[in-house]
Amino acid sequence: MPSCSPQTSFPRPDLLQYMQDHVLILDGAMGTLLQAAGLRSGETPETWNLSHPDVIRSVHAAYYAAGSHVVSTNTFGANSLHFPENTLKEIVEAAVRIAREAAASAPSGRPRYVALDIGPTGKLLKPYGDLAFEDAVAVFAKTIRLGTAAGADLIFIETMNDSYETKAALLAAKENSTLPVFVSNAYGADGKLMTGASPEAMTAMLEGMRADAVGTNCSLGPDALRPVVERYLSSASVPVLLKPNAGLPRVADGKTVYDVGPDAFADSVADMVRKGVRICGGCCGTTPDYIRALDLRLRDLAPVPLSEKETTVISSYTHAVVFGDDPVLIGERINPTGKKRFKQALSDHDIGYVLREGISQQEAGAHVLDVNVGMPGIDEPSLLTEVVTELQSVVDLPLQIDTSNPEAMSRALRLVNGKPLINSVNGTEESMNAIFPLAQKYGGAIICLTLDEHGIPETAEGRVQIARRMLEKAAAYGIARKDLVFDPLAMTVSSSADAAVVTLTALKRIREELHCHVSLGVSNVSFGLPARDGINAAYFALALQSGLSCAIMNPHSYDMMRTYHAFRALSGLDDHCMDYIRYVESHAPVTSAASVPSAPKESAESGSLLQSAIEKGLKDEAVQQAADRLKTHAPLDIISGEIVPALNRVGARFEQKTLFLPQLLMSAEAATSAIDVLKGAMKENVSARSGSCFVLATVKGDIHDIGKNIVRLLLESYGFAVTDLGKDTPPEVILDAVVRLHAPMCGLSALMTTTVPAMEETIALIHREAPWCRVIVGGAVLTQEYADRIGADAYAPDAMACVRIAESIEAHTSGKDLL
Amino acid sequence: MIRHFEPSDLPLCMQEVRRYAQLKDDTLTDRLTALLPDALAQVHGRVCYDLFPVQPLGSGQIDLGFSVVSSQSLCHLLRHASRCVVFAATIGLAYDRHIARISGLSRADGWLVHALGTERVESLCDAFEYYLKEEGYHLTRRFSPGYGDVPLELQRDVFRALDCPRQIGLTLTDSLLMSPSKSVTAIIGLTETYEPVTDRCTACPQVSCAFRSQP
Repeated sequence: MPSCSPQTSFPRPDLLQYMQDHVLILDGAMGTLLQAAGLRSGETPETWNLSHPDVIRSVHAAYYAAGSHVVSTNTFGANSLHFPENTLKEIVEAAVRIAREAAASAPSGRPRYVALDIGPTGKLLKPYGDLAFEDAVAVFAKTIRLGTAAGADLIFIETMNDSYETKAALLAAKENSTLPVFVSNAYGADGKLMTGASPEAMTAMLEGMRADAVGTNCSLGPDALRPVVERYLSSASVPVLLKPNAGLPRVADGKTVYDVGPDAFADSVADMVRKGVRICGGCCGTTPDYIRALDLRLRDLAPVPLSEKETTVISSYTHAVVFGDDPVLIGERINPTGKKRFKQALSDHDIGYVLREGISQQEAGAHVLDVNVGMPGIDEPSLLTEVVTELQSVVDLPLQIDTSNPEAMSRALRLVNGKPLINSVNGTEESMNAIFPLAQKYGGAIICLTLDEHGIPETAEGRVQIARRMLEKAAAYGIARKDLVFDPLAMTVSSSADAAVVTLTALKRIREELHCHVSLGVSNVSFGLPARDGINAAYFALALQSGLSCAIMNPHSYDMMRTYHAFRALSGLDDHCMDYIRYVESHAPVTSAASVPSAPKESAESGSLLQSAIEKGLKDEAVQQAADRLKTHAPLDIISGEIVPALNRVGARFEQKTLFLPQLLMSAEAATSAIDVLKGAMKENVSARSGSCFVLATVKGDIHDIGKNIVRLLLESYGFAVTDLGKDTPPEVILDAVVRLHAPMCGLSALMTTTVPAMEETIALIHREAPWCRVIVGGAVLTQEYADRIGADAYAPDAMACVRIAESIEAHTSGKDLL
Repeated sequence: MIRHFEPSDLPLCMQEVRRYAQLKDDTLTDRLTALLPDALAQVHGRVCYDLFPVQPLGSGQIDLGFSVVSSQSLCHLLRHASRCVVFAATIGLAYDRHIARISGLSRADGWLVHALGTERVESLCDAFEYYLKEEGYHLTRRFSPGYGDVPLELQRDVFRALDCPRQIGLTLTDSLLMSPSKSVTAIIGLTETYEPVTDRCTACPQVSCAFRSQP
């Protein structure tokens, strides 16, 4: 082996400094050349660092000779999921050493850098895949530590087609290395990543986390990637990178060829350099010829100066939300303050309830969701991270993380899939010292409350002064002005006559003098007044006219939403007032006789109406009838005398196959909605329910939960107290719940033969440690015979059967031999 | 070389949706119709595939070019095939998110959307087969890992051969489940002459399958 001490033939200035006035040329494909050198299909290219170092070195050397400033190490798939740790170490160290050797012997005339190449793991992150976010961070961290120690000059995260995995890789780079990091994503022809992100969303998140360059590689040829690159150029303040394929592949004479040749490729890429791209190279199908052609065209080309984009942007895993003339609505409903039902859901760990609040606010028109789960007696950091993770698996809106607990804030910011709003920091040293470092590390736009150690200034001037101080302090952390959104604090107008005016004045001054965006929690203004919606809506209109950029509000409030749509129509933001018309037409409160709550009906009739609503699966009707029924009957009587018999009739029809699963589910939903109304009436007695405790889970390794969710719904409609542990649940977690609740029964679901062993393991554990508990199993691959073989107490071929088995266990909780 | 197939439009068969929803009558038409537009907007069908030589090795073993498999049913399926197409098809992760979102509001609607997703990915596979036929190939029926006696473990080799995560965003968990969930991988034999496809279900040992055709 040659010595690995760098024999630099040309001074290697600091990379970021060099980039300030040079276009940086990367290399072309590695895999394409290795296949030409004999790499077999299915063979891992990274092992060639050990078995064929000369071949790898000559590929790097050819790119340096063709003009590359930077070559990427042959480590695309070098991670601890693919290789044992010792082998991984050897592969990464050899990769960097080989590239360094090629750099040392490259022709002089330009500096030569070595990039540690980081490709995707090939795994999808939880909850849709089986790789946990922190595990992904740990996988990337190992390769990054090895590559950094071995002497790479920068880290090149590339070909990522999922925003969450990209975040994991960048976070690992930032936490385990001080090297510059370039981040490149692979876009489809629709201009999105496979998991949905737009270039603007990726730019927002990656710049927030301080990537040194962002851009795109692979997937398409240079012309086809042009729209994606243009979107990067108009949204990114950092250098933009482009590394396209040599067009599309086809087979000719038994060989793979690409349809864009070196000259056409180089012309197209050089054209994008003239438009502002500052880092370029080639991906699949490109060779040193392509890089040589590119170098020729870039020789006399100075880079287009970088332009700092002053836009305030946040993002989700699909899209960016831009603060500007069009007001941004932040839904405030995920917050326990003053909401009894929400508090109950949090203490019951009913995440489904919280998710419904999120989904329904999105449907009502919210652009961002505020997430606050702080209340006494809960582990806020754990609950907040869980809610954030679950919410972002079903709602594609950016999130506003709302907590005064710095630990909870830190953990949630780490897990957010996008660039969030951070709610909030204030002008006290303590708050700024806690929150600004988090924003510096994880990115995010920050809601800044204009109060400090002395409280909330009574004057607009006082609030503007605090805002100025916060801007200075943020700048010291490298946080840009555009990422501060000020909240000049809406105060209660009933206790101070000029409260509303002072806030509006501060709002206007912050917009005009500090050029920052402004947010308000509008509804504070009306505390203590009657008909609060009227005051709130009027104040909202005044604030919008004064330049309000975003509002934390209830998107289900007709008055607020109508004001919002009216403002947009009046401000020229709504062509032909179409949005306004659509909103009012679909949301105007109905005042016809039909909607007026009906007078209590004669009880027998009302009882049959409730039963009929459940049998027909009419949820709204069932809720209405249950409420009516409460006026004359006790909640438990209604459940046992009306709801359960109605459900039983539906269940019997399902068993007789005269009615089918969708109708059964609709009836169960109508029943659970009615039960929810009745529970609300059982104030001190919420737990006084008839059904036994039932622990339900999809077993470890299984990420599909639709069957389990159906079973849950039916059990709940029958009054069972279901503890749903979710999917991919380890045996110990299931046992824990069974023991903690002393549950008489437990339902396990598995979809595939590969996860049945986990089911068998869980059953054995429960039988050993919790012998009182009967285990019911179900799922696509199971049969009675299979269930017997793995030791289950019962097999439920469908959800209704599970209810019947549970009822029979409940009726005979004393004996195991009953089943 | 790995190739791609991305149809812009897929024919919709409501009878199939009802079948997957286990809805054996013609009720709930309004409900299904109301769910359609949003659900269909989430579908992004992508297929990646490659062609491999097929070589029977005797005693129930067959070399598929990317993997050697012990399977009587594959040997039978491919008995007249000299090559096979291996493909992976998915309608994308956005659809899984949509199922989760709709289920959050209503399990019944979630179930219907789930059934529609199954119909969508099967329709994608049908469109892909039609495309291959248009290209002039004679096809056997499609056969997936886990069918009959084909080991589910073959999934690992299929994923390696087709580079599914990069090509179409399809991933495999350690327990061999696919994610996104509305996805199919399968093998189709290419034969010199047309052979009618016989009953799809009799060869399958999953006798309790809800979709097994009646003899």
